[in-house]
Amino acid sequence: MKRIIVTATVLFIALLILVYFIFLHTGNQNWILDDIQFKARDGFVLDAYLLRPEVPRSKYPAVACFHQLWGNRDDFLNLFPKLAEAGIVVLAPNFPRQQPTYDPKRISDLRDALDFMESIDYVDGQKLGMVTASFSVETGMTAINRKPNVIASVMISGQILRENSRKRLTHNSNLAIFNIASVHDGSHYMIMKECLARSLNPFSRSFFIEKQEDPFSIQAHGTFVFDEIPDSLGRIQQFFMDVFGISIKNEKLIDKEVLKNTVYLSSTDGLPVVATLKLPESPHHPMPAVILYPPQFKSRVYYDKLADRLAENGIAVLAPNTKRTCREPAKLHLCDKEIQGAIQYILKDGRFDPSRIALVFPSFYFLIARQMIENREIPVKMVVMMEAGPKNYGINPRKMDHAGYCFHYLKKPSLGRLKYVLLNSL
Amino acid sequence: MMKIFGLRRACVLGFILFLLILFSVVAVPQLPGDDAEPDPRIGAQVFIRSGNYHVGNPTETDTHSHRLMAFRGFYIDTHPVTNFQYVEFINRSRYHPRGKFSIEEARKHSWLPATGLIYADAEAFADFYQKRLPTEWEWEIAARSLEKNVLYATGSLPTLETGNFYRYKQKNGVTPGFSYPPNKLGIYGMAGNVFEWTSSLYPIEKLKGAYFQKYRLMVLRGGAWTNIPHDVRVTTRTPFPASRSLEWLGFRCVSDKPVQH
Repeated sequence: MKRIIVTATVLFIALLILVYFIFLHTGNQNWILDDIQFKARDGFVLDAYLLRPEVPRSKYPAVACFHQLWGNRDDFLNLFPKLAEAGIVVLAPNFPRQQPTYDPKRISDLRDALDFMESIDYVDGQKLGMVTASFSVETGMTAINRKPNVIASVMISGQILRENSRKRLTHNSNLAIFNIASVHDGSHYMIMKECLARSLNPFSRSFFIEKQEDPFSIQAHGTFVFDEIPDSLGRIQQFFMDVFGISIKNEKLIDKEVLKNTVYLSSTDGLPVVATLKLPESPHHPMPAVILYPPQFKSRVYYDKLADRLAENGIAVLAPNTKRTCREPAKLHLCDKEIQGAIQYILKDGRFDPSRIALVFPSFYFLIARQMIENREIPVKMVVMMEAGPKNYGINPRKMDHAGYCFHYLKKPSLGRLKYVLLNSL
Repeated sequence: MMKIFGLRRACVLGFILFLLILFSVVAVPQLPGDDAEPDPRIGAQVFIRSGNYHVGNPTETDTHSHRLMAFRGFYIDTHPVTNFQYVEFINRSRYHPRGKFSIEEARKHSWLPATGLIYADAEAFADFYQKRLPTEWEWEIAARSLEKNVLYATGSLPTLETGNFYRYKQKNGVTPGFSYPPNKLGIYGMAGNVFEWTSSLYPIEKLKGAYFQKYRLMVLRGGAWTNIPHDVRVTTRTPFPASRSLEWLGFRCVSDKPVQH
């Protein structure tokens, strides 16, 4: 009798442990998208999204997402659900200092992000990966110079890489790569081919969009592939699952409280743009609105504090990200579609007063702003042009033909001055 | 009447003769490389005498700093092996390349360097003509014109006029071997254009991870059109698996006796 009781107890405990493990590995636990800040080595504060389990129950593999030039952390929003499904923690920071200069901070910021990710206590330090796009493919490869524990890298439309970066694929044969590139990327596409030829890890693979008629309609590269070919998201998920040895995936509920002020605008050609929409707490309809475009290398986060202050004064704020860059005359027709899309978004919404809408262009947008103002393509009354960022294309807004618009020009990148101008004029 | 008949017959004969001439022009089988006149510089070699020559570069991470190395004299090709030469080799030897080399494409672009060949394909070519592939050090002293303080085959930092590299807006930038000026020894294509196979193995102590032991890693030299200027140095060593090929990876041969083919 005693023996039976002991056996039954042992069996019961074993069953409990089994149920606990099944619950641990297959349970549909909730995940949270956090808006966090961490410090780089020189004290500079970096904003980041951290996608993490609500209650960590074990060690999780982790992936850092490094955006391209003129990109930002919002570029990876579509990828988050896929990685959460596979149980992967994601860190996606904004890198405002990631610029095509020889400033070492363009690389040290990425290293600090990887160090921060590794230091999270529920992250498995031996299963780290990264998603890099365009410019950050090179900086990312340099950042993992002395980090052999980064074993998976997604490289989207990498730029011309230095030999030392390419050698790394051989020097650390544990590093698996997944190259995504299209023929429209020009030599970037060829370089991705070479990186694949050099990689020694059998999990390395590629997704080359080789036919001209394939749906790369905007002929842009980098994270645009997520919008253009959604299939690429599933492929990235499968790549990380293969390299990290994950066999189970479950749909996860993601708490996206941090995105409560976030909206998706549609450009006039259908490409989605992520934007902040901040409304006053007690609005008087119809209310004035302002569309704020970010300076070069900055994202919509740049205007967060200003948006709060304007909202306190009854002005609604729409701050879209830079999606397609406005720096080349050949690409202006694409940039135009985004700005028109943002204006249409405000005009179609009945809550805003069409006669009290302002549009703010920092100097990065001067080229497209001049074209749109001189051709009278902007259907709002007020335009503000502000010198902010390193590039203004040699355009002097005072010499532009802006008859018919309520026009302001700020010589210095001062948000206080901008607030003053907007409050007075609207 | 006779006159008219004679004229008509002459016309018919003339027309037939015209057709015959036309046919003879069109129907002559196209030989590889018939799209351009053969360059007299094709197949030339440069002799490098026995002696001690400097190799290495103090700023490179995976090679030693300057040191003297002893060499036996050898003849080195002045240009990478062309598609014309490689197709001729295939026709004579019935060899089947194992890389992605396409004979049809090669016939269209006879004077481009032969690319898309794995190490064994390059070795087979060299063996057939009683040549061999250069060691990486032989390649290096030829590129640096036997001098000590030379970083680039062009002498100083190459520009886009003197070397084929950093063509970041092109989809394919391989150019014929003689497109850019030679180095001081008269050897072409040592700065950019295509990588070149050498017979040296990459040092195993530089490699880490679980998978490198499955591969035989050879050293490539010379840089390619996809590299930045800094990487087209005479001392840059590139590890690459011997079993793989690339669209911008060619080779040149050396021999201990002068070989004409």
